[in-house]
Amino acid sequence: MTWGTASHAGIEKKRDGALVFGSDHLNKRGTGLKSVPLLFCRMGAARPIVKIKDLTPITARVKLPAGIEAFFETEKEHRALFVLRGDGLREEIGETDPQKTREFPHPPAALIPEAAATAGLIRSLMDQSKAILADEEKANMVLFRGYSRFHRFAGMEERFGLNALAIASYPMYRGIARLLGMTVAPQTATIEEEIQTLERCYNDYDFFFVHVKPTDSRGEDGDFEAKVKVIEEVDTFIPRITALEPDVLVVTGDHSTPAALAGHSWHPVPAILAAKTCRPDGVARFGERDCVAGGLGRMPMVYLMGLALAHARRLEKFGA
Amino acid sequence: MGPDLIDRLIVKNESKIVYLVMDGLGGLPREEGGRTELETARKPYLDNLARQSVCGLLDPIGYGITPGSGPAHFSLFGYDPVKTNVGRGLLSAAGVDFPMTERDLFMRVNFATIDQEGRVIDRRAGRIDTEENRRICRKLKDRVKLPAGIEAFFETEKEHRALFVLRGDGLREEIGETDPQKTREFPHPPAALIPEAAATAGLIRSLMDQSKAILADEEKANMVLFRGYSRFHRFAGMEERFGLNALAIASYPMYRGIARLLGMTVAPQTATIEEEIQTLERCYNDYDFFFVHVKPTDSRGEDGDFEAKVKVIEEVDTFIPRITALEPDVLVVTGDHSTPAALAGHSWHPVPAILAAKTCRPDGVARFGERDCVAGGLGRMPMVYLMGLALAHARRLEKFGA
Repeated sequence: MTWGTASHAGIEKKRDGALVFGSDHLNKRGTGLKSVPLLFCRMGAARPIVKIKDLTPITARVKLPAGIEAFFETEKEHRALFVLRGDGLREEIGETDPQKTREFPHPPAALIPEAAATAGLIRSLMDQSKAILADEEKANMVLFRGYSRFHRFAGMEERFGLNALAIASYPMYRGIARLLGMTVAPQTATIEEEIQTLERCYNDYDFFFVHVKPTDSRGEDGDFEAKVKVIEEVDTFIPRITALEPDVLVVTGDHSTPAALAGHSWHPVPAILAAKTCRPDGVARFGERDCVAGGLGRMPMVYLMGLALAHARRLEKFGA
Repeated sequence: MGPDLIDRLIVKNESKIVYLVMDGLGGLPREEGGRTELETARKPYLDNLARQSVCGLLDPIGYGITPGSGPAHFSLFGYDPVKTNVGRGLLSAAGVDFPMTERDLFMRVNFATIDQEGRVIDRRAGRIDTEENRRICRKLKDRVKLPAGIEAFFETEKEHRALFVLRGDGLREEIGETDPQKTREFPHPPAALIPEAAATAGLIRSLMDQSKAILADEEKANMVLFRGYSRFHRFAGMEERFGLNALAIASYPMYRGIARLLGMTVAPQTATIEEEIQTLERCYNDYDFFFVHVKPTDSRGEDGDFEAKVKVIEEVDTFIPRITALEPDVLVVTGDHSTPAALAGHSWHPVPAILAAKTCRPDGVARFGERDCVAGGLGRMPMVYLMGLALAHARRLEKFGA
């Protein structure tokens, strides 16, 4: 998810006031802006393992052509965000991570002729970074990937008239929520705290995105039992959600992460849509097999929002 | 695959297709977990038909979209309901069989009552009767003054509703509605929604002002509200697209109008469901596609009258043996959209459907009901593809590709 990673950090900085990053600024200057996550690693190391706390040396020492600004922003462990700001920057640049050890970093190739200038600039920054970091024991090189220019999305308010709150603790999901114009609740540590946030903020918003991460994490770990436990923990909070009596309650996932595959998969995601206007189906248990016989059928996820809005009586009739 | 791929695959034969459309058929339970209208109805013949056929649920427009009757019917007949969506004025004009020309602009008129300040106090003018409506239409037609090159027609529909047609060059349909939708509000001026519509908007404004003056002495219908502007549109008909010689058996003007727009022959108006079935029997040899439209399922749903809607379904059920006795190659029983009595209006819920043909692959559905249809062999499918399936079972589609 290149854009997700790039944008969440950028927008967060905008909110902090440390980095101006947004459409107003773009309009004013008419500039392009480009953000690239950085991957620090030690040449020849098996996996990037270094924890970078202070990016001051690289930020202070890197030399840029006139009209270009650069921002290095720490994410976590060996990962960072790198942003170039200037006119005419392009995102059509090849990745530099060779994906294997014992290989040289790839040069940042221009994938289309128009990206040649940007590729040259990134190449220069790679070379400079290599020189600047030569005295580092571990993080003595940078690898760039996931290039993306700024994109503006019509927000949930603009598209659906929804004043939305995102309750999510992982940066990426907070970032997506921000891109879609949701207010993002302060970070919390547990599922219970997320439910507390939902309860506390229930009167102030009309759409709530409550994101539970560990089902995916345990799936990625390949830990079947642990994923089951997360689902069981979430289950205990359902009465607190239904006690709020939302007009529409959707329980689903964003994708499948079967522990058996220890990764995302293409399988469809089971879903519950609860509303007074639901037509009952025969499903008696929430499970993949049972949902096959559900009244929603097997439907593209992208239409779920329309259904939720319909049951919330927020869509008018189409045509005479 | 788009809904018009089938147009290229059409072959003609002697087969017959019957569409029995119970308007607003889909429903909802009255109480949580209860039965819908269709599930409640005692309908042995429909249940039997469901057992011998393939069932499913149809989405008229898309997930969550509540359709108007116009787009829902276009979808039933295999016409992309979004691309073919037209203003109510055109459907009204077709419904009263108005002789249309390409220079016409159609709109719906609602006669309304305004108070002395001009605020709408009754959006339906006390539901004046149709005779009164005719008198007022004549009065307007006689007195209204028009610029050179423009003609106007006021045509009575029913009660407080009429069709108004302007005929002239360069008329545009991008005009704002004038019905404020609430009482105690002034009618909206007919705004030009694009600059090119300014002249038409001015003309309509003048007609509103003139009508107000002409009707000032009326007790009830002393104002006109315009909406549903539409220019003339021509649609490729069922003969042209599918090679079908189609007969529409429908008593309500709007459905008769839609059928006309799609090139169907429209049978003379009848008063009861039984008379519609008699028409089907009488004309069965002369056409190869039959659209039989049953309105009261929708009307009773709109009334919020669960029991009465159940009764309509039970009445329709008694005629099923007479339809199957004709041995159509394909018999479809469905609705155009859902009108649950619980919501007293159209809804976005998918519509239960039966498709009966010798070539149906059997499914496990033993009763005709929303819950049962979930497990039907048609699955949950976009309604716009129903026509293609019916044509396939009628062996009227050839193979696609080598």
